[in-house]
Amino acid sequence: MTSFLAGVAYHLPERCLSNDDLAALHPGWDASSIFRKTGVRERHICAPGETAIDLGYGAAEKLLQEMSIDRNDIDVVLVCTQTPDHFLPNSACLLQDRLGLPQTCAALDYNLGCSGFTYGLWLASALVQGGGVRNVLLITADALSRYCDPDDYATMTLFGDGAAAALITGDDRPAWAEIGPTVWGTDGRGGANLIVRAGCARQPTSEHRGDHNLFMNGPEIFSFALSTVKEGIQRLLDKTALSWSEVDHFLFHQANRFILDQLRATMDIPKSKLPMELEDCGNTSSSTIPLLLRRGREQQRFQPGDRCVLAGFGVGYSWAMTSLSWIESPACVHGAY
Amino acid sequence: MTVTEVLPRIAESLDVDPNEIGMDTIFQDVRGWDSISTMSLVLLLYKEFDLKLGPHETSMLTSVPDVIQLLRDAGKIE
Repeated sequence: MTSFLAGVAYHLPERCLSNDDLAALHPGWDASSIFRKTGVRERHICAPGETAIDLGYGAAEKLLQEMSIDRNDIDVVLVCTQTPDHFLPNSACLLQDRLGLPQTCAALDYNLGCSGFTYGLWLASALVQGGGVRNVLLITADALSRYCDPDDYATMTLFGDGAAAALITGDDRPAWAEIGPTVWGTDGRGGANLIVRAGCARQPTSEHRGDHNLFMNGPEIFSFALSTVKEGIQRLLDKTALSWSEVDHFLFHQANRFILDQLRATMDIPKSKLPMELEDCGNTSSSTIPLLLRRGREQQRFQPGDRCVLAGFGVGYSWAMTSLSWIESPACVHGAY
Repeated sequence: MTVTEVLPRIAESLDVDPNEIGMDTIFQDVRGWDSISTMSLVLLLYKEFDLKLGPHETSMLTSVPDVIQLLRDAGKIE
């Protein structure tokens, strides 16, 4: 059975934090230098009391309404988050209730960051293809700003909060794209390079405030991406019998501009084939790729028959690459689903 | 490639004058050194020497002698 990506929506919090704001708070920080290095001019940040799951709700509600989906048709809700409202219950159960999804709906979370959307497409496709379900609502939601040390240049300049929702279906309703094969991988040796050390069972509390904040070793993450992404895409292309030049769009996790530029250069990918959407939203972790898809569709970037390679890579280390074959005509973009 | 040939490559990747990089340079002392500089070194090793670093190995890139040692251990320079 074939699985389709039927639609994507995203939701960013209203509150904005610009590079000028950051520079005003930190005398040593320079707004233009932040933009030059990261590609980020401003990022959206949750307001006090607003959570990642609120953002996930916003994205899902938008998708359900835009697509006029009968909520009773949702068989599974998958939620990818590393910033849940509670240790338990899981966020998917809370969103099942809040979104008015039926009690026949399965609801589960999984904990991944930058590889979360491509992992989610794979999991949802597997459920559609072999799990006896028709419609999976995939929600990616994170608010990493909660865990960033306000004085930490590396994380504060990079991350933004955001959420996305996607419908993966086996129905031949008008769809954006057909979901192709996925390859994936894991190297847990890199776990300590992107981590919030304290607050869970291993280290419930810490005298060091920094242990409760997000720690990122940027050079290590870059080194990991250099060693992994090209190899992962090659494995995917081998699986799909496509050559590099036959791929029309490379939709990469939006880590930061430097990493994306260098990955593009090492893979000889034309600039026009690798879009960036960082400037007004930063790195939104698991939601960067669905955001690229939504905005790319709005920009009428995708044509029927176009081949897309999606690459998610980061915290874990974890990575997953998925291919999409675009179906929808750009003429449908501003019409009904 | 020889050790003396590596030094200008390091300077180029760090975007500094070759005269600022010597056999005993500590990178923290290099003008404008930051995490992007480390990433540039990682890129140099990957592109010029086909050297992929494992997790935690970038912390070893603190000085020119570190880089030279890494390249020697990997059999990439004489």
